[in-house]
Amino acid sequence: MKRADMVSAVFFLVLAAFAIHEALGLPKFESFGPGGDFAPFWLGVTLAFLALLLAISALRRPADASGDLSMPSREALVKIVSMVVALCVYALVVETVGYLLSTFLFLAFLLLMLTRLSRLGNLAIAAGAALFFTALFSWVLGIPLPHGILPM
Amino acid sequence: MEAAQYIMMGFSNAITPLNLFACFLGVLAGTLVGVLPGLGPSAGIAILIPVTYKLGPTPALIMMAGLYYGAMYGGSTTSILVNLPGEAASVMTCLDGYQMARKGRAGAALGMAAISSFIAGTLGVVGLMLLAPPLADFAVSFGSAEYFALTILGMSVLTGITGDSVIKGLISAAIGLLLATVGLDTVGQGARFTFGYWALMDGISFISVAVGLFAVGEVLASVEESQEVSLYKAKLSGLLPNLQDFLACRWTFVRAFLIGFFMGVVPGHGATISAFLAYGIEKRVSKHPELFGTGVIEGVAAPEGANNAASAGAMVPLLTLGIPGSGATAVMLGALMIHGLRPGPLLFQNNPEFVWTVIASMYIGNVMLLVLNLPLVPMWAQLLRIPYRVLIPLVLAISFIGVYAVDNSVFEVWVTIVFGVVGYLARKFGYPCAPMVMGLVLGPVMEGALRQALALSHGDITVFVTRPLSAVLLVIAMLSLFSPLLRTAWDRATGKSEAALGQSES
Repeated sequence: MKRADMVSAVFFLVLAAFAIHEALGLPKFESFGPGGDFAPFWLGVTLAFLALLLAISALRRPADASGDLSMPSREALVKIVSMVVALCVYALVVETVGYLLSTFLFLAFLLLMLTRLSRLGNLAIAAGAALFFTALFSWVLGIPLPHGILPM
Repeated sequence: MEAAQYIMMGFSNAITPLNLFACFLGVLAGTLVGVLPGLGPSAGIAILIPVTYKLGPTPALIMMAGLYYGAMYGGSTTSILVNLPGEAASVMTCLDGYQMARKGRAGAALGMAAISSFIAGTLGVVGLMLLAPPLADFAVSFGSAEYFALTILGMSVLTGITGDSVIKGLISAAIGLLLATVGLDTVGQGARFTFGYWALMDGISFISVAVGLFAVGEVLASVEESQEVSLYKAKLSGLLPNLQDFLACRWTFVRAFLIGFFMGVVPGHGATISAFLAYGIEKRVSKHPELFGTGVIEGVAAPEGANNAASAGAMVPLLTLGIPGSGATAVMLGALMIHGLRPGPLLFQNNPEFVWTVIASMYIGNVMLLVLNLPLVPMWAQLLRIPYRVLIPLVLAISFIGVYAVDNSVFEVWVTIVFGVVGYLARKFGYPCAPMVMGLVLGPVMEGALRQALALSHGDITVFVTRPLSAVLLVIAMLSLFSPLLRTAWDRATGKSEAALGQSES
């Protein structure tokens, strides 16, 4: 975890520097007290301080003191990336294609990728779940969902 | 109005069809979340929030609270039948519960888990009813300095004990507080960190972040784990423990309630630690401590009773002080704010009907859970046969629609995807997610109280230490934050002394 902590400490230092930089452009005082910069500035300073503490504690630690960062296997990594990409595509197309159809396609893709069930079984689960979610949110809870290309 | 009259009023509201239905759905969903490994109550509540939009705040909190304590009931099923805790608070139940199942007493173990949960959980609601009103009365006198100190206390306690590293917990909390500053400054009305993007003017929705961190992050991380469940083929008949079991556990129920409830009241300790403590104390007071871990019924009753009493105890700081003691109650706090309620001392004065209806519903929910968990245990056990990987896409899809329903906006979905990845990376790098959500929820309250206190004191920062109550709260906050360091130092000191003793003896 030593290297992982060093990497995350650097990331948080950059984030803290960004927060402080942005806070410096905010109003310093309001008529009634501290301005809008107060919280972001001091939170940025606190984050920088904590990131430095993390880096120092990582540097002082032996390389294998608290276990290494467990990297996912190649197969798991492919699945995780596919799931995130599928979510992104789902978000991109949901308003154009419509909720029901895009949800079915999203579920069918992930079920076929993740499970060992039969193709027909996966498609049936995807269709059933897409219909159930549409019924629950659109018809029962009255939340307007995008129709897309399907007439509703 | 006396407490008795209030609780009667609460019961008369809680038994309306809508509230009963909300309670039933909540405990049912909670049992499901508890039974299925890989999905905790925080994720369950976050996913449930959009479903509660159309309901008022009362059925919404009834449902969320039901899910919270329902998950404690359900968690025992997997612990006993699969030796795999459904959620963290049921870890200790595995030790003796699974051994009882192996000895052919799975039914008695499951029955005792449900009965102990019911007894300690119901006593926990009595404790909540008795403790919450005087605490709220006391906290009504809090000024902005005390409020600020209180939020610091809430965050520090949770940050100090979640995860292995206090520094990482603090970083997570600081990120949450920074995220809370995005959008229009509620005090000065200027825009912060919006970069000219209108969608950020209202700030970052806590639901999108909570669903991303807890639900999507958890699901992404679970892909790496083997979720093959080998269900122990146990005989589930005879779910009522025998008289001997009850006699063995009669004081266990009381101890589990006392430990669980008071640990639950202290923010940050919650169900998991109380279950560990209850098991440890039960073993210590037992006449046969050597049998613990081999399948003794007290080893099931103690942690299961304690984790349920703790979930009732955790409602005390949430409802009276507006301080959530865990990730799950932090999500509930945020949900209540969405419904236009501000949990805190004034909640008991301004919304007594709401508070007492929720409390009354918890009695009803515990009875429902007993009914759901005793005769229906075989059905819950069958659910474990559903491959976990079938649930992954379903959880993602319901998370997606849940956050989309916040504003009918795909922007919220993008926020959830980003925080899903953040949640996954946080798990990999060892950063707890609960302090981040807590920071996001409490950030505006904390900043408002801080700036108000400084404005009233003309910028004098000593106002936080010159007011006695504020000073005491800050001292407790610092002690709780650095308690792991103090504990390590103590262990080292005692370890050294034992080593020294060992050397002198040799």
